[in-house]
Amino acid sequence: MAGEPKNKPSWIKPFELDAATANFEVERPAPAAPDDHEHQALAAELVVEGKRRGLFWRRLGSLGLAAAFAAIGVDTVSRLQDQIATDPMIGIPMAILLGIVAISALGLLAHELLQLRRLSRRAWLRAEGLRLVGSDLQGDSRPLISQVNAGLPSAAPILATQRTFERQDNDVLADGERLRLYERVVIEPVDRLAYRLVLESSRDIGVLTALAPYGLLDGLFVLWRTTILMRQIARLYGVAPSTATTLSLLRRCLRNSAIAGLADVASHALLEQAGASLVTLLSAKAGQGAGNALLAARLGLEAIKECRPLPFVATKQPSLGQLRKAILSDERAANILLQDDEELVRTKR
Amino acid sequence: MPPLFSWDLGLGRLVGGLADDIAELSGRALDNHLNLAVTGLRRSGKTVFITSLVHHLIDGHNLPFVAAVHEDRYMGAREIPLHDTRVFPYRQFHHDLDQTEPNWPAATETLSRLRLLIRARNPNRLTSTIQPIRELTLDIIDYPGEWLLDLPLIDETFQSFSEAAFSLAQTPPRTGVAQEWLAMARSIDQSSPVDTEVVARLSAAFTTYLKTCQRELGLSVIQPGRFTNPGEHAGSELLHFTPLPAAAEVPGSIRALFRRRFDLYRDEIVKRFYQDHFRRFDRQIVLVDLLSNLNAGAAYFADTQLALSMILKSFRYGSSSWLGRLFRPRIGRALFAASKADHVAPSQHAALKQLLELMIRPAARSARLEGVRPEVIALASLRCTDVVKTTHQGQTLSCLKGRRLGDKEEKIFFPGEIPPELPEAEDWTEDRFRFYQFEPRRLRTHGDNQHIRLDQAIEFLIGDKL
Ligand SMILES: Nc1nc2c(ncn2[C@@H]2O[C@H](COP(=O)(O)OP(=O)(O)OP(=O)(O)O)[C@@H](O)[C@H]2O)c(=O)[nH]1
Ligand SMILES: [Mg+2]
Repeated sequence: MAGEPKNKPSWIKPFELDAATANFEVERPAPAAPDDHEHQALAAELVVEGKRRGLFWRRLGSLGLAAAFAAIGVDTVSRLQDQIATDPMIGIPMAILLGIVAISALGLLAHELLQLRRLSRRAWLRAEGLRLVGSDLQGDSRPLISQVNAGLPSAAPILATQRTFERQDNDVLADGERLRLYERVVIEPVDRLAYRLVLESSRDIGVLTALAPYGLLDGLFVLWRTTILMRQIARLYGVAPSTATTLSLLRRCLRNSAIAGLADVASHALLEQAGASLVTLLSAKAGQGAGNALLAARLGLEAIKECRPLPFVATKQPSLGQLRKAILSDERAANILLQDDEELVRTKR
Repeated sequence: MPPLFSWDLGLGRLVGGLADDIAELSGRALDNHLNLAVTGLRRSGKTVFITSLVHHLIDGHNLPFVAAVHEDRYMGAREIPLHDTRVFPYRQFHHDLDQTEPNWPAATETLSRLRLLIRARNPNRLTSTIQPIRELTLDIIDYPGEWLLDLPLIDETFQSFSEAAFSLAQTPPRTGVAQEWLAMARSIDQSSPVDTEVVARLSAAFTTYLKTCQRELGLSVIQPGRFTNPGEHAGSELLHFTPLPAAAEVPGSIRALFRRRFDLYRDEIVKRFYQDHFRRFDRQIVLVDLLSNLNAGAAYFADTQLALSMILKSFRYGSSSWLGRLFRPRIGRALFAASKADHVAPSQHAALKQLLELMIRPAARSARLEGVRPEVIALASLRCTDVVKTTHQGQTLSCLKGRRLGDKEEKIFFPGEIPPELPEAEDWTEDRFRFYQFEPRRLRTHGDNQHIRLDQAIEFLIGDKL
């Protein structure tokens, strides 16, 4: 055994070089161009999509829809051709008009799809973040962070925190450490603004449902106010709040709350209502208001989770209970949760 | 005529020392006092760690992972003067490092103590109306690493100590250098009456053997510790004994003398050292210089592993109650750090950490048993190298740029790759690892990039009290 000739060792021998003559570069790699990650991102998204249930029916549905639109289009074009043939004076301007409409509709569709993509890209970023956050290795966190940076709005306070991060970042940090630092320095302040938005909207909802005279009216109000909240949160995290994203966000949040939190909401609301039986006696509406407020808060928290470009690791998301206390009790509790960021909020709006 | 009693008589120190103790006790009662154990074998980086820790706590700069600093609550720290023991010469060490030609602190020869007052604003809005500022007193001691190996002697008798010493001396890599002393110890007649000449020769041979093991072979298990670093016991007769082969004891014989000296050494020096300074720790950082072990070879790795397990048996782990905290504190958080992490490129820290985990596994057992989960990191108290990339035989490698100890110019080094597991003995050839010591870089006020993960160590060790 010992006499066997050894292969070339699998390790590299130590060596040293003269700093004056050797070729070297200081290790501070420029963030990788986002493009080569775009493909991976898309691929990853497709994988995520593919895992969803009901994909077949969805595909079938969209296929049907596309066929219907195509039929309408073909039909319109042939009618237009007839029109132009019989009466060009009316037919041509009409064709131009319809063309403009069609083009802008397509543009709108493309825009919406793009924004939707941005939203679903967040899931991929979060998955990447989760993969790296426990890592002691190096090399993958900087490209990810530059992508996350690119996805955040370029508002002054965020730029400021990004600069702070750049200053504190260090070439010795492992991927996990760097991500945790980034989360605490850059994402956490954004979270706090988001919690503030959630609190405000659920307070509005709670108060208004308690006051509004008709059931239908509060339903509409809740829907309207929640939609605004979704848009606000999306904008805060750098997802442009187009109609499609808002709706998609609302749908995802509703789905998630149904899975993870509806029971939670219900029991809290029930408890709240049981506890507040005196109030309920005085006004059944008040309890309902609390319930609606909680639902809005729950949806808000879900929206934050959906829009956030990184998972919660270094910082914790406040529980519904904490938020509930903040909504239902006084200003003081809310401040504990949020701490003061008046300045940030003002510049943000 | 001298005054009847002067402060020099020690009365001042006594009163002052008492005041220090009372301050500590009241701090403990209020839960704002911590004793931090900075543990590490010889040359593992304790003194540099303490100096850098104090510097950064006072400076409050470049500590992004300290929550209080991140939340902008951290207010700063200052040294509190102490009366009774030698005070850790922080000023001097800091001064030596804050020079254009900085110098490392010299090897420690005596015990010294330091007390630091740290302030941060209270993050809790509810209690902050009553107590707007949190104060933490942190006590740290510095001592020669050699002395740590004395702690396990507390439970030994002359007989058991001798047996262990003989069996150790007969296993490689000690066999070669132990020959002279072994031969001498075996040949003397233990029951003969004391002959000072023989005693002197025997103990000189033993001390030489220990010193060779330590300085030339770089081994860690060197007992008794004061033989190689006597501190205030330099020249004392107490240090003139050696282990002896098992035999019956005759009164007035050499064996009786050695046994008595061992007992005195154990009871007067080691037990006192332990009672005075090692019983009352709340937090612990264990610094391990893994890289010199890798330089040396497999046997040395095992030797350090053994030394660490022996030492850590002397510490008490677990959570303490309020009363326990006052009178019998336990170490509730333990951090194992591979020190001098700037001697390798950061891309190797993961492997360094993994290797350290492997090394300390037996030593950390007692802590684990008490429910204390030790944390492991790669740390540099004072960063002395930059990271650069070079191309070598077609491969891009992360290398270090720094000034090697004794060199005039900076050079680029690839010191070898750290394996995440212990290499097989046959893979451990001469030229696999070449980790060097480096000249220090200036420790500046408000400097950036001066440490590696010191902030994470601070957060882990005392972050909950800030
Ligand atoms: N590059 C680098 N070298 C270090 C660091 N810490 C310690 N060293 C080196 O290790 C040597 C010993 O450090 P000390 O802090 O004196 O070690 P110690 O544990 O106090 O040693 P004793 O006093 O002998 O027990 C120093 O002289 C430095 O050369 C570090 O963070 N980086
Ligand atoms: Mg020292």
